[in-house]
Amino acid sequence: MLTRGTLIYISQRLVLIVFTVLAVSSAVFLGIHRLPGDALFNEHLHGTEYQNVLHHYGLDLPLWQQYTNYISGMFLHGNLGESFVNRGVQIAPLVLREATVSAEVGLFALIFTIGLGMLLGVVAAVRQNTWVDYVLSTTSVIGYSMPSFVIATFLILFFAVWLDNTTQGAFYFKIGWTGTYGSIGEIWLPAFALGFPYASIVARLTRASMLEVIRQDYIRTARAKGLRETVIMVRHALRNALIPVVTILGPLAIGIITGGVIIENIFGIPGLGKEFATSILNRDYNIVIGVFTMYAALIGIANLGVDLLYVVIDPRIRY
Amino acid sequence: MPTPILQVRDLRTQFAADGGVVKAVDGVSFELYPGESLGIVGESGSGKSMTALSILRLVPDPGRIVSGQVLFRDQDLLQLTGEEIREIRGRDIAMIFQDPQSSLNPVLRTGFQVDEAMLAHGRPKRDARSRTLELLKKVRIPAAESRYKDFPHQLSGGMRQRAMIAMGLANAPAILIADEPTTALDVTVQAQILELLGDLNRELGTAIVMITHNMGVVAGLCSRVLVMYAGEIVEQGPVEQIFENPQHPYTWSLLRSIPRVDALRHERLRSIEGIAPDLLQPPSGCRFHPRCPFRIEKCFHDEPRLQDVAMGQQAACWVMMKRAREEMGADKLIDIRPGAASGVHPGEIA
Amino acid sequence: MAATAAAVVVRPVTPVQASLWSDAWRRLRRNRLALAGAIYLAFLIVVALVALVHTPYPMAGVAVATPYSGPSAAHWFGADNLGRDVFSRVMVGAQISLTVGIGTQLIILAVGVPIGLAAGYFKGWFDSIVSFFVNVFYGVPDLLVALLLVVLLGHPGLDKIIIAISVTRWMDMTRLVRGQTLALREREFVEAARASGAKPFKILFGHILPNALGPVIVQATFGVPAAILFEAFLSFLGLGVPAPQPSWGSMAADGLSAIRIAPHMVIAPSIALSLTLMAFNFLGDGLRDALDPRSRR
Repeated sequence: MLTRGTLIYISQRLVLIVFTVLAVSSAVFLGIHRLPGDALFNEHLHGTEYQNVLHHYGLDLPLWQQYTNYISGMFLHGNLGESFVNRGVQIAPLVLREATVSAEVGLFALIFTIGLGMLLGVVAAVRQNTWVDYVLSTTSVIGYSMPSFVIATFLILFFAVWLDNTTQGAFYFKIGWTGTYGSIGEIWLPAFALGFPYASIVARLTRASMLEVIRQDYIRTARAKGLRETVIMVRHALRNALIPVVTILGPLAIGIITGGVIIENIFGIPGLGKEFATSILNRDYNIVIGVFTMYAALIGIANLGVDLLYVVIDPRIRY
Repeated sequence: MPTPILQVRDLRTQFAADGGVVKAVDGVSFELYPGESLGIVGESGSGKSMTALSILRLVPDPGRIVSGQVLFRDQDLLQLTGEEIREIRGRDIAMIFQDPQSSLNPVLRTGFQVDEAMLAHGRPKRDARSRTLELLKKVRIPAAESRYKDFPHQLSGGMRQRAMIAMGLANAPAILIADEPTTALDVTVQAQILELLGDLNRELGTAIVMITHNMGVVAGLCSRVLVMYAGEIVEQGPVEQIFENPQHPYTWSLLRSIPRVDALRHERLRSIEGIAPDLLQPPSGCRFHPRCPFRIEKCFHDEPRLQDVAMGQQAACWVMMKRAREEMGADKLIDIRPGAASGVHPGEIA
Repeated sequence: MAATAAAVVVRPVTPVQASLWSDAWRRLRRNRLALAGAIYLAFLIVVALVALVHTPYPMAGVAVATPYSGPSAAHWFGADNLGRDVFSRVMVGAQISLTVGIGTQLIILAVGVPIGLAAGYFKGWFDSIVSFFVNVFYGVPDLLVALLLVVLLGHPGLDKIIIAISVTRWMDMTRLVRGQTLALREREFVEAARASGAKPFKILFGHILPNALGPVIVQATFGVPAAILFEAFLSFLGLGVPAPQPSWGSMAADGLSAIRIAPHMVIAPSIALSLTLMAFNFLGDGLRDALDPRSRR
């Protein structure tokens, strides 16, 4: 699978990601440094003390100097600066850790989305015009009409509140996150809330594409060979039905990454999205820049991953 | 005569459509003998492909086999359970299809798709693989080892059809049904594939059922031929006999329509007048009467049955070409519009 | 003779016919979901208008009821953490949602339609620039950019939100109008208008736009719920309309922290929001099927 062409393609894409990250962080840096006021104002510092703090952050330098320092720091030392609110806290390791937490939630959500979506889609296609099919088309309307925070709210009402009350606390979902990374028990509900709207889209797409694929000549060939029906459905039909599904994975990955901002805040997950909202509200602008830089990298890598997945799924595609 | 390996009796396959039932196959009966090569010819929509698909019960929805028998080694394939017919498919009776481009799965390696035919019938994996390589060589695919790993899109059309044939032969089946295997290919490749099928038929003793609309293909490969029209067999018999002395006007017009290299340049390619019948409402009497130049009054309301016309040859016609030649001047006929030669309602298409 | 022939002015006939719209209306009336959506939205608009002059309690009136108290005859949707009447706040929330939804679509129509028309009609370098920006904006995650814009625009407010959403969502409309224009500019009635010496402005707005109106209306109808959803997201994160203005998003966020003791606080705005989004989506589906019966999915 890893031909020379593919490796060249990957390295080209990585270069492109670096440029995108550079462009995004520059835009955010310059945009934010135009803004009056930042977290330092809250500290009511005066005189030399204030000058010292400004100097500490390099804010006494001309903007151009600050910018080149920032960019060179980022590329040469992987340094994204220091938090305004929590002095001494380095941003790079912070957002890097948070990005992995977000990626964890996102990956689980993706598994839900694709696993559930494909399962429902295949079942609906094989059992066309039965109750499964109707339930699916109804849930997909809910999926695209309900904001993720509303879905999350109702899931919490049911799994955290109602179950707690009816089982007297014996069995319910505990909101919150005890460690840096979530356990399966902590992560499944937020991942489900995040993935559900997209699962219905994937299901509809899988259904349509399965119905298309099972009419194809090569399915007839597979039957004529005497293959078992399950082998035909999984190996011959589903593999091909996946191809159109993969094409929406790019937008889907972006949707899950941005949707994570809401879900992380609702479920108290210490990821990039929670940091993002907090830092904006605290006007901790250095973190805002860092978070955006991380998001740009994350989205670039997700898109690259999707493009590489095409090659695995459809052998006709070569880079 | 040896005992037939396949006997089809009064097969009827129908499709539910808007406003009625399409009788795609309407009472077809024939035999296939071991090692023989049988052609089934007809226009598209004549029911020849549906007959072939019905034998292996591969009729697509909403089609249904409504009655009849398909006896293979004395068991009726139409009565088998799903699992039993699955075991027959590809092992005892294999089938290859028209368009090798769409008939091979684009996401699986070509060699593996041949392997699968054997894996499905219990052959161990390594065994299957070495047999596949052997088969790919046998169907004259050059560099078989590297072609094994190729995906279908990396092969040429002829190569794909060879791979399909290899797949069909994988389990050394008693019968290979080939549904228009050359239609989608270049003329030169067509000839190669036909030659290959002929050789395999002789060497391996596999009986071949060749479905085609091309009389030339039949001439090159088959020893016996069935002619189908509107879901029915209208004539059958040994190939030389039929070519020399067709008795049904439809067979006669099919043979006339073969383009001939020696034909005069300006002579218009003769085609059959009229269009294929609507199977939702098939014509009364003889189904060919709306297009037949030799029709008589009887053809409009009475349906002819197959009757012996020569040794091993049968046709279903009230007139027969013998009479058409003698009384209606069929050999010199230029105007082949319906009723033109017999003068019965000339030109009118029912 | 020649003079008379030249004097015959070819009046370009624009093939927009009254029957097309009445046909569409007939088809729309038969679509029950779309009709239900339209009725709900009419009701919502009335509620929003009433809220301008009267709400049962002042929307920011603290302690008009016991904090966290559940629904009752006096307070239909109960009270929130500050003892404010949730029903009154949901009414004002409808106002905010509709203002954002319709406001962004008006901006997008005012900006996206002329740009799309010009890009499709004149093609050339202008079209290349427009297409480039359309593609760039399709590639970026809209929610994150909107969030950033709200930050960069300074203090939060309804106007900032409308601008932020318009900036991130304009390209759907522009791309649509551009595509329609590209197709329509080759049609006979446009040729005829050009031949009779009509100015580009007249051709674009008098001939091309009226014929592209159907898809534009459908696109705008789908654009409204997208914008409402965005505003709810922003407000939910605390970056939307400033307190005490009650956006459905911020009300849901407030309610979520009290979900164990006062679930009505989160349920009321959540349901109002979901119903509104669903109503617009059903209406959009209905309009699409009614205005272009060929494009049924």
